[in-house]
Amino acid sequence: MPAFLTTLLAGVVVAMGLASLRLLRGPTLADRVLALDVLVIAAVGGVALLAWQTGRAVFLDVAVAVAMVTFISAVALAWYLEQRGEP
Amino acid sequence: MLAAVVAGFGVAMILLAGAGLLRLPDVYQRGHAAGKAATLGVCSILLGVAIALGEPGAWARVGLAVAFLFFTIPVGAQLIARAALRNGAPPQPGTRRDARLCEGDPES
Repeated sequence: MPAFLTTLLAGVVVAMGLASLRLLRGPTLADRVLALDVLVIAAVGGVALLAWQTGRAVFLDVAVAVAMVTFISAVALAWYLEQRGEP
Repeated sequence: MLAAVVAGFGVAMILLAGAGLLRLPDVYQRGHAAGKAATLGVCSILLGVAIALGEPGAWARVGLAVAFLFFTIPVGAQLIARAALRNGAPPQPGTRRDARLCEGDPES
């Protein structure tokens, strides 16, 4: 099972790399905010896989906390985008 | 075995979300990748981990996280796409604009 879990973690890391490319490339600020959102969501998945690898359910607390923070940040950044008034 | 299948499906969906984010042509279509594929992916991964661990503590935490993520990720992506629309982010060339959507927005 360890090799399989490593493969899954590598897949999550590749997805984070794809989102990072969009984060760097832009072209609008909304694109970057979306990419950051997906980056954090992929990180939640990675934390869950690490909880499986170590066999400790306590690590899932991290996933819950990060999931709550990312929604607040998405709403705040969307509000900031609307106030800013340019794409 | 079931845990591996569910978590593997979740990772495939996360990868699809990343690919869609990179390959789709404008911000509104990328919002679909971020709002739907990523939600399904991360919820599947969490469910797979809960099946693998199997203890009540893991199920409680995963239930909380899935219930929260399932509602908040699409809402967040929709808010960001709406902000982009109101700020006039350019859609894919050839898109026809909906006059009701762009001019008669009662909230703006």
